[in-house]
Amino acid sequence: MTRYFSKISVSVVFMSIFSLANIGFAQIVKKDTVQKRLSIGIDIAKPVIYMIDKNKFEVEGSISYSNINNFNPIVEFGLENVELSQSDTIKTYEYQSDGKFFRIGFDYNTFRRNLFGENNMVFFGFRYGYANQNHSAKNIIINDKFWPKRYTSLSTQEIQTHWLELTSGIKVQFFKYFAAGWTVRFSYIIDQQNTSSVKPYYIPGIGKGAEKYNFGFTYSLYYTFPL
Amino acid sequence: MLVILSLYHNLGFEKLYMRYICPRENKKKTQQNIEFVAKTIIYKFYGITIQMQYPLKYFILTIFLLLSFFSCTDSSDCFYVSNRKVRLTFVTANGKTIKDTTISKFSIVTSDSLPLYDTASGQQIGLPLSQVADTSTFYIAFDSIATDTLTFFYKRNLELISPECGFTTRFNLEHLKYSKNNITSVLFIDSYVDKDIEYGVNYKIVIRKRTDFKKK
Repeated sequence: MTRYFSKISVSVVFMSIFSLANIGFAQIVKKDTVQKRLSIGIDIAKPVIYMIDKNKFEVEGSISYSNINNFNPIVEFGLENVELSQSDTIKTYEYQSDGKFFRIGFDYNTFRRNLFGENNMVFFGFRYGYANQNHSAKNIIINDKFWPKRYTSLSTQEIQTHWLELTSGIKVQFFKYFAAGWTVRFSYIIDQQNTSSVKPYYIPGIGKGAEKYNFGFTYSLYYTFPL
Repeated sequence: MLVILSLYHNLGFEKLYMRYICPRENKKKTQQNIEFVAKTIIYKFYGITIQMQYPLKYFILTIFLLLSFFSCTDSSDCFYVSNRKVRLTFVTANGKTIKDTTISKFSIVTSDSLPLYDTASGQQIGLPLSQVADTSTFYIAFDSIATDTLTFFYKRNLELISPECGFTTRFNLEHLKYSKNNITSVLFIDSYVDKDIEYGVNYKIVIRKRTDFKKK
């Protein structure tokens, strides 16, 4: 439970910090205008989570374009490295996975009451995602009460995953060119090519790989500038 | 911080802010603009612009957010590691009707002569499968008067359950070979050996009625 609360606390702290920065930036209300903008984002939750949990290192960035129609094309991409290991009397293993991913799609902005010149968003979106990863494991020992222990390993296997994703979230501008916001993601794996029967524990860009359905979360910092 | 902000909004401090603070800063603006500016500040104070304007959407998004946190966490399914057992239920047949039955006394040993059940009684049993072979054989002695052999054939798959629990072997049953001393037939139910099957069944073992047991 401590771990859950840590993750939630980190998110809340970030939300609070960036929210407090907004005070004093209220401007004269004018007719809402959505300018053409380009946003470059980086997920800042993942490095923070890595400080708590050293097993999984992820980096994720995004480039999005917002226009007058509120359909904002977006490309997201990232890397993931997972190293898990245990060694005790019940089980022993060393697992490793390296992968990369991208998502491409759009966000539809439903928030139309921006202050002049601001770019706050309440959005719903859709993505197609692709991930390519290699995973392997060695020194696997599985204990058994009644039969001999199993000693085995998993040679390096390549896995390619395709998925579709529904997204929703918010993006709040807190300085002239900077915004922050979170996105929740509901993904569904539509296809997976795996050269072995062993499922990857994590899939880059999705999360846990055991199920076809997954919920995910990103909290990003954006540099947004008008075109 | 969020608690303070909630109080700020819910106890009406927002109105006080609009009435006494905003007018001083925005004397020349219309009341509508003042309210909008004040509300926007408050929305952004939360870091969530939709919270007050779109309460339903905010609620739904919050649920998604919470679900995402739980989905990110590792469920410790270590139970399966030590409970990967094929589940069997004893039944008797009367024509086409089968009925669950309780065996008052039986013993089961593995092919390595390791006792799993010793003069036990019951209706359902769980037999642990070997992880180092594609078959596992068990000997069942019914009421100490007859013995049958069960040999399970299966496929083994490796799976990383969680970082804490490590790897385990998943079994998919393919075939069951059995002797017919006191077993008349076997009904296949489910091939997947999972922890959830503890209350389910992989095979139903149709045994002779007690009075029909063959002598050794």
